[in-house]
Amino acid sequence: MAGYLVQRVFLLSLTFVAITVIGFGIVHLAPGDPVELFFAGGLAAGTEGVDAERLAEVERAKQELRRQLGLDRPLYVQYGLWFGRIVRGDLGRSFKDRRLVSEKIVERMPLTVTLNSLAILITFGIAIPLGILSAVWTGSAADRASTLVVFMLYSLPSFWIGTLIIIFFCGGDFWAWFPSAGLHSLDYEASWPVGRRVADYLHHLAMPLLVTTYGTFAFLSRVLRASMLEAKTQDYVRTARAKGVPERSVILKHVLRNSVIPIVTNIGGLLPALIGGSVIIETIFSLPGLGYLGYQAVLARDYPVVLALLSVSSGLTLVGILISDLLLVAVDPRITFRARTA
Amino acid sequence: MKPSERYTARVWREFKRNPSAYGSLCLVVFLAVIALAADLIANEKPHYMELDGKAYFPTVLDYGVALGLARWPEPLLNADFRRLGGRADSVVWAPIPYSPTRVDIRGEMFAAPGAGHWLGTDRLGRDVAAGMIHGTRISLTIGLVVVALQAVIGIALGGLAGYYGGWVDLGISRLLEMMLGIPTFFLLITVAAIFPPSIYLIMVILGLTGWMGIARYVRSEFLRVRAQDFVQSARSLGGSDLRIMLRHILPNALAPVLVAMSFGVASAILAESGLSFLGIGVPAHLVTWGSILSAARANTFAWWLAVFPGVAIFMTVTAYNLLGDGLRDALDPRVVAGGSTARES
Repeated sequence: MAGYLVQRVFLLSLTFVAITVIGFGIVHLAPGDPVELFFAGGLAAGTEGVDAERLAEVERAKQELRRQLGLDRPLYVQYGLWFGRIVRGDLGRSFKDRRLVSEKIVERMPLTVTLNSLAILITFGIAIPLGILSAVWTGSAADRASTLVVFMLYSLPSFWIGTLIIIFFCGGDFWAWFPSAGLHSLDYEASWPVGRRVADYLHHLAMPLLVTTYGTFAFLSRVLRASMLEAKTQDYVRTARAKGVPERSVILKHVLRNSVIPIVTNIGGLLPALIGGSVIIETIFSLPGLGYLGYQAVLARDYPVVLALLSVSSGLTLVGILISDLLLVAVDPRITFRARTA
Repeated sequence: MKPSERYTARVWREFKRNPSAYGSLCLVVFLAVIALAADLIANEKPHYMELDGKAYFPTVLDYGVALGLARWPEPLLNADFRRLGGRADSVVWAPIPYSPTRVDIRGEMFAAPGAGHWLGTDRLGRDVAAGMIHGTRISLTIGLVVVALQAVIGIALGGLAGYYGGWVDLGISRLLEMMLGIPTFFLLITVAAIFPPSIYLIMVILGLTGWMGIARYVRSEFLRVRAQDFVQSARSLGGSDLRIMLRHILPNALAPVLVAMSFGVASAILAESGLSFLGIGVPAHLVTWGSILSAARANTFAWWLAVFPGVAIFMTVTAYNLLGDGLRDALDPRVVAGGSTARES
């Protein structure tokens, strides 16, 4: 087991290095220089008629800023320095407001994590009972209907549903049932009683949560249903029935337990969606989470923030893959570390 | 090793028995026809026009001019066809007499759906219906090109890994694992936002980041088939590696690739519209489903900008997903249903 773990961790770290090289390369070779961007405002009026000494001064200031940000060194040196810091947990400072990137991330993490963990919890709350029902009633009208509904939810783009919700339910010309942006009401005060504060928070979170949830729900319930159906036709299920095990425990013990495996492997896959998937939802509902942070950082060419988020989320993905592999062994004693590759 | 006629016939029969799969195939064909005929359905130029006793076919002529085969005759050169149509002896307009990027000179901004503009207009007075029709073309082109790219990369790498095994397999499998570890959507957003917007860039990044599913299928199929007798005999007859791979093994691996490609079209269309929705997809002058939808974000009263393109994206994605599902069931009943259907990441 230890040997397997060491081998996995080694390969995953190589993967991590490769991903950061790609990310670093893309970000630094791309057109659009953050230093030029920083000075663009002041130079927008043009340089005509400005005396040469002033222009030289601007040029010196640019050089100075480049030196401060470390952008004047060769790319591989920049990468080496950056990677060395990342590994030690130092994510650097934002180009935009010179604040610590780690601080910015920690500040925005709770929202994104809350949103996504609530969504996953609700998903499991609905998907597992529904999966059981559709396995019991395979082929019935209710099963076919729920399969079709799940399939359609699956193809429903969240950015569309989010936009429709904003248009129809969040003010505008139609109904104003929910707030369209932010986390707190305008008149929010920290001195409100807890109940009121929680209610306000949930009121703001309800629609983003709905949009996040239906996506994960559609994903997981499809996986669950497929594996329930597969488990149902296995020999051990027939054996269990033949020896007179009540249907209830056939479904709950024999079928359900064995169909949980693919769900477990897919939990790892849900981790990266924490950041990637949040970009669209947080942008639509103007929620100050990680996805929104990433989107704004990308637009502002705030490299340290972009690279930090890319590293953190690919790190999470890789850890998720590892956890999935380990969980797989935990839930299914038939799988051993040796047998599993890739 | 071409699949026998009987196999194809059986697949087709199975496929037709599945109403949702068959229906989605019809929808896919319908969308393809719209994409091909977009210029005939929505065009500010009339199909036929009789002016001062002479007959013109402006839409057909347009193709000729684009190909360098024809020139615009004097009265039509840089003409405003709407005004010209008014004094023509007879004129046959396209069903939607607007071009998608045509800014309406009468200044009908944000017109609600009605008789003049069936699906309304946007901020610049551009007709939404025309944008939707021509957006079909862009969406399908992106979907098909991206999937073709993914198939080429996936088949090549998966095939090499499965056929040669050993170090080649080890290297390619690590590359696969690495690609799967990349948070694709975030990377996509980064690249799309940093580089100047371009439809080709979108195609290339979607192609380069989405070939892993196909490569995995092809690899395992090559691993399975390479040890079989007919491959051995092909080799003993002196067939080169390339010939054996392309002629003998690949046809066996095509069924799952076809299924993955169908899902791939759906996910590429979703990704492009998602990026365009964020405003970092296609360039601003192109009208796509995603870019129309994106305009609804800033103008929440204009519900038609959100509803119609969304329906189009949803229906197209559903159709390709159902098509893939149906193909999987029809091609090989043994293939286990799994969760590789397209959706946003």
